[in-house]
Amino acid sequence: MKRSAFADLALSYLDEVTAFAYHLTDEEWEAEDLVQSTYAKAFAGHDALVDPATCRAWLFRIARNHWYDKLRARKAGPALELINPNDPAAPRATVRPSKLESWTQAQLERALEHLPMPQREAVVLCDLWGFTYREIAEILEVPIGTVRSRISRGRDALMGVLSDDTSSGKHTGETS
Amino acid sequence: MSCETDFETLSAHVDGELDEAAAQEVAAHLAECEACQATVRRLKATKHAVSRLPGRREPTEALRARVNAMRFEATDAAPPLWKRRSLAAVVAVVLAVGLAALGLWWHGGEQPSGWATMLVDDHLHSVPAAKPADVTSDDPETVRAFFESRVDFAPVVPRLGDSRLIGGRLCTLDGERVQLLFYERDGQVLSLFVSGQGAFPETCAESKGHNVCVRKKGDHAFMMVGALDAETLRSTLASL
Repeated sequence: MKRSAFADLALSYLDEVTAFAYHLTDEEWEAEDLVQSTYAKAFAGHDALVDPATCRAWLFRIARNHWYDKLRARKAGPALELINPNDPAAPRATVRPSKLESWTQAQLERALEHLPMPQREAVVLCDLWGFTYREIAEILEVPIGTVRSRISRGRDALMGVLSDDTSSGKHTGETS
Repeated sequence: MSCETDFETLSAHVDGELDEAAAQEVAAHLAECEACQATVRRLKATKHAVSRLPGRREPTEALRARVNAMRFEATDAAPPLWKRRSLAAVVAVVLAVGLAALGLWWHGGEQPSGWATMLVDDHLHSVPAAKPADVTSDDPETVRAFFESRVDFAPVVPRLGDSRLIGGRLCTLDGERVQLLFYERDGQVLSLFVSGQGAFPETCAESKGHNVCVRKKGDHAFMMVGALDAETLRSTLASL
């Protein structure tokens, strides 16, 4: 793939990569730095992109890996807190609407923040950005089965936080 | 009968990630199980709600400009000289006229340009630390033999004064195979591109903290790239 064609393709995802960077870090300067680093690496290593159809997922993976490399380099705890929603000490959503349709954006975002990071990023990559399980597996560099499990557990926890009905887990209903 | 369809399977079903047989099985089960129907409704509502979350932020104009600028640093927006024979000839003439007019020919100053940036990029991407060499040897004949029949010109592997030969890679530039030789000098890796084309301007330029110098000799063009100063590269090439 020629560099100019690659540049056109990669830059068409700039808005999404930026939004993803803001999901990884809320700090504007860090998000912008992450986006720049992502594209610098992408341009430098575009030969590694075999299939242009995977460019979007490839950029997300670069961004994510770069972010976690940066966190590791700092030797600080993860900036994105890993909160166990089952931990009674974990912060809870202040409003727990009884109807799914009444969720507000703020409530949903707070609920997402309650998820452990592996589940949160799998759910968001699937539902917000529409990646397939296979693409998410490539971004997160985990098996597809792990993706499936993380999304399932993430949704289960999300529904538990957002709904008054906490019986949304693995139900044991009876068939008719 | 106990319902054995677990939450994870229903979640994957909502995402359309089950294979055909499993999807049919779940669909048949859903037709009869109200509890699973309710779970699927809740899963779909959750998925829909997350899908409507807006992206946190759009790139600022400044960020957009900075990222867009990268394409000109690393793309073929300004086609490199060696990529097209006809274009190489045209650019060579333009550069020659321009540099001669400025009194800069060969012994002249630095002219940042797209071709220099491209050579520096290729150097940075291809140095042995980043990519293993195709042939590793300090023996010129061993390295030359590797390129025999792999390039469309008579390969050469020169000895370069104080620079030690490390090895080489076959380098394809827009479909044209050229030699890429690696040398070491003063702890720095130098790349020497060797092309069978003679239409290259003999000059030096700088890009990204690296210098590029070109020299023609016989039917070959030698393009040396490294982090050393231009005068060192120029004198190294002069030893050819």
